[in-house]
Amino acid sequence: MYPRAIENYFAPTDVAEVLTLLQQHGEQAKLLAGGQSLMPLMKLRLAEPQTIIDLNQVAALDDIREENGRLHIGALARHADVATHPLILQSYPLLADAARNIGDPQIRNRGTIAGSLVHADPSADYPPAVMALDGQLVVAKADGGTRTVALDDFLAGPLMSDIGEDELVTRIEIPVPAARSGGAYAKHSQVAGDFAIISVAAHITLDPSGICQQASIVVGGVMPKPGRAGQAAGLLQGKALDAPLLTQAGEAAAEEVETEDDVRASAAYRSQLIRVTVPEVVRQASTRAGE
Amino acid sequence: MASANAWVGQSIKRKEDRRLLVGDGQYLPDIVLPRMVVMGFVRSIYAHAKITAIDTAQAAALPGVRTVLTGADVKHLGSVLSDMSTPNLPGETKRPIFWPLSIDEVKYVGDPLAVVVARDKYTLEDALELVDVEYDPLDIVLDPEHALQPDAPRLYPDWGDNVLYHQHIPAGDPDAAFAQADLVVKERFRCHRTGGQPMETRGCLAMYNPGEGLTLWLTTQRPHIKRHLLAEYLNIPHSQMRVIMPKDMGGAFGTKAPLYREELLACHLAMKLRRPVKWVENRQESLMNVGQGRDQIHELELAVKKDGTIIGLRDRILADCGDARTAIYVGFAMPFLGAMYLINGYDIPNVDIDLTCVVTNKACLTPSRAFGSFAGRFALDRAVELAARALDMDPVEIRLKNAIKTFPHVSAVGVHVDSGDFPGSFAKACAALDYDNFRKEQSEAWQNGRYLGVGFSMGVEISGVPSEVLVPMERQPGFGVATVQFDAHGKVQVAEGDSPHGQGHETTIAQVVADELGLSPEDIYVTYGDTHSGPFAAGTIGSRGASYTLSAAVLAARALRPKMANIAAHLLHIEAGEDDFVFRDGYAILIRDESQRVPIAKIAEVALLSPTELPPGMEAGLEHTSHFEAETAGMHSCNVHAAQVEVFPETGEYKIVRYVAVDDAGQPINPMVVRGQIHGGVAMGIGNACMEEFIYDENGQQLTTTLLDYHIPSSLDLPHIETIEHNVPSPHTPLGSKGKGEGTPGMVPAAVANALEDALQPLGVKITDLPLTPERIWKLIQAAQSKE
Ligand SMILES: Cc1cc2nc3c(=O)[nH]c(=O)nc-3n(C[C@H](O)[C@H](O)[C@H](O)COP(=O)(O)OP(=O)(O)OC[C@H]3O[C@@H](n4cnc5c(N)ncnc54)[C@H](O)[C@@H]3O)c2cc1C
Repeated sequence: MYPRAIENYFAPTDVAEVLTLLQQHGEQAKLLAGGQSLMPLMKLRLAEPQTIIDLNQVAALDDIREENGRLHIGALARHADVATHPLILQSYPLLADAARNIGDPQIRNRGTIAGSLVHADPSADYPPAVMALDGQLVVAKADGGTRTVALDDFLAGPLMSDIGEDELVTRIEIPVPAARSGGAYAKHSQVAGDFAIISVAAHITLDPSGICQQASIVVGGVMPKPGRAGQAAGLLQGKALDAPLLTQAGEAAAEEVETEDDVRASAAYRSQLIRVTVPEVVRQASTRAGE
Repeated sequence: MASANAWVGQSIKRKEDRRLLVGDGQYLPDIVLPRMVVMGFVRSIYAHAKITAIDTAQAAALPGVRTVLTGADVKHLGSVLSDMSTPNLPGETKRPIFWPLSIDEVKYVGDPLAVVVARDKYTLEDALELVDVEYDPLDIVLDPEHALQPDAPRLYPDWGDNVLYHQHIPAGDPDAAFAQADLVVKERFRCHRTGGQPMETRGCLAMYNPGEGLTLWLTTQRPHIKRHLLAEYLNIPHSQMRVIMPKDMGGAFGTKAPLYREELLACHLAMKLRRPVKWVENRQESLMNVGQGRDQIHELELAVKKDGTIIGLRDRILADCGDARTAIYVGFAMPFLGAMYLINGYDIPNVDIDLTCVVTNKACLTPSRAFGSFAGRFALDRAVELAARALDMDPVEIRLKNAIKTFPHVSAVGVHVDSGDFPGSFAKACAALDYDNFRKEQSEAWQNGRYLGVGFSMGVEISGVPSEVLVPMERQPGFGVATVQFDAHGKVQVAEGDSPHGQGHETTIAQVVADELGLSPEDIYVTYGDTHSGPFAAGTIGSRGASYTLSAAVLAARALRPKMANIAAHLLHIEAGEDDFVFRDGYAILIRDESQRVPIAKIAEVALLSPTELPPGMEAGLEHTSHFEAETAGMHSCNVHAAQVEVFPETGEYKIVRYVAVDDAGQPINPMVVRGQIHGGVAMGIGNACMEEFIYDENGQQLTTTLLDYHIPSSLDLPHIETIEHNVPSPHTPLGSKGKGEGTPGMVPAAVANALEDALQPLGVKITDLPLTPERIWKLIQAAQSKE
């Protein structure tokens, strides 16, 4: 439970410096954000970086604001900040729900949104929520370029994401939702603050008469990464979200999202949780959309 | 006359808490000695394997590494278990032969096979990775029923089978009882592997010099017992062995009662290297090695009359003891006591209990709060519930019908229960739950598709174990002991032989001694933990604080009063004795003329600082040691717990809406401390019953070696625990006080399971297995529905 010795520790103060260091140290280096996933891995000696590039002194990486029709969340925004930010509570309550569900106060005070997405735990709380909102990551490259990648594509598998050795996630971007949109997130875990057995995120847009115009439903706690319940979401489109329809959507989601057995739960139980939770979360999302 | 009772019964704040809350606690890892080195273990990655080669060269060559030892290097120390360190129980016992490090063969994942000593923890872990072990895997046995099969792999080939311990406990005429029964309830119950996981893991620090010998700072519940076992094993004079439990310890729950292989090695290495050797277990090691308890299968039958009277019980108990290589308890002492306590608060005259303890390729069972009886309490209180249902009888009524009614009571298997009042406890539990109205609420809820239920459990909890039982069983005394000693400034030091670690002795002992001597708890300080400065005692186990140890402190304080009175009379120049004085508010006050008084501080000063002022011929000093032994073969508290739940059948998830604990502390010394014990015990019980489980995969790899996988509840997962006092003072202790807390978790699994089953009556679910995870409940509902 003690990490292997590291050779170098850097605490750069701006993004350019981070990128230079990445270029110099490349595959030997690890970026340190909240440390809530990296440090446990290092203590278990599952990660043995020679160089640590600590992001915590980098200025202006934790901004949360809307710009050009998109929500920008800085890479270093802490879970606790996202859970309590007025703008997010107002327009993206789904994200606040997810952030609030992570671990315990200490973990929420340190852990960051980019750290969570890069870490890519299939049972983590952010990934389904950010996917449901069609979130993207803005990635800065050491050669000076940047790229933008949808979270759906960024998540590659359990603890695997599409990040290069010379890349830094600088922010998460989410399109500002259309009018009459609402989202919700719920998770089932064995004890409070634990990783999900199953979690469900839903984002809904209604037309003025209450008909569903657009829906996305994402399920976490499944392998190899959170799964979109596309057919379930499709069922909702163009319809009034009454109870029988929601039940149907739950059935559809349980059918289409594949589940597996592990220590926490069986595949069959996971499917049942999807069946039961999808209607509840969609109902809450549509209530919020109507408000 | 005695003294004015002012402090007993008051919920004063704990003296311990200030230092703990502000971070001034003094724990084992805080102790640092010059030239200290640290120790760590290479542990088996196989559940059962031959060790074909160990290459330590690379590790030994790493700069900063002091030594690397394997089993071969410690074989000369001899096998760990001696007559002294093995329970001496009736029945057939086998004794595994083993060393501090395993030699040639490993028997579970986590089995220590080499030890590395290094200058710091970082170097240590680097070196541990460099020890190269080659294994030749052997067949494994993980399931206790499989372990009994003739063709099962053997842990100890010379035994001929895997049976560690077997005992048959018959009483009365069970066959006749079953022949006369109107109803026989027969069910198989299974309790999984779960137990205790203290916040602070195990650890020790051994220091040696040839002059004074060995000093071992150790996270332990029983410093004196460890001392004599260590001296025996290490073959050094008892005078050269000192054990110190640090001032503070982050919990134990039974896990720090056994003697472990690791602490033997620390001592050996300190002697060999002539350097202080420290070991602090990490969480993975802890989850791999200790806190694994329960793990029993019960095939239980009740013979019941039409009116609900239980006239007979049969139980075939199979306990999975793991590898059985832990001294003092050896994996089977817990199931043994559990079997003896099976019938518990019930008065069942005809009994046939058959206990078989087997070894498997898992970690050895260690004691956990509700020592051995968690599984049996679940099984019996579940079976009683099934009997009630079959007879269409109220669950409270059937329990009252069969509960012990007259005290003192000796159970069919010989357990003495001194005092209690089950009807009174049930009445309070039912009133708190508004039980009469609940049934109406429940049937309305069922009509509306909601599932509410109530479940009860009842039982007796050990209040210390007397010498009469402990001496033959564990070769240890049961008495409580305390030395009460005035200092020269009128303050009082109480030295106890136990080693409290969360039980609040510093506060409760101060309260009782303050009352006996007319002082304030502020004037009393309690010391413990060091075998070289406190009296010999068995340790902090089995709820013996408020029953035995505290009673010894009361008696020792009382014994000082005649001398205090004589000194006071001498200072007042009057003729008077103990009965003429009352001790109150810091004074010895003459009863017939209250203006005649002497400060107690003055009495102490005379006794210690200026003995020239003592009455002629009186010996200086003001101290006394008392050994308290209750005049009975067993003291217990009688308790009733009830859970009210709402179940959500679609997912099997449920909410414990209310948890009511009616507990008997005899005479609570500090009701807040008692409540704390019950809260902690219920929390542990809920964790064990509903959430926690040590899971092994088919290869014997334990899958729950981090707290991410072994799910201990936090306050967010627990209901509000309502505690209600129903105290029946023990006739056998000076204040009527009883021990409290050790047995509490045992009350929980049946209360919750009975409530869940009650709620799900319309769905016809029967609960026989723990843990009560939502998934298990959901599957039971599914199975019941597919049967319909
Ligand atoms: C006890 C415990 C319980 C937890 N419970 C939950 C839970 O219930 N739900 C949940 O979702 N999570 C949980 N977590 C994980 C937590 O949310 C972590 O904070 C998160 O997974 C990682 O974020 P971090 O900022 O701590 O990243 P770090 O640990 O610092 O880094 C994680 C990885 O991301 C990389 N990285 C970090 N920032 C960047 C960046 N800007 N660009 C490129 N790469 C980057 C790092 O190099 C590293 O590989 C828990 C953690 C713990 C310790």
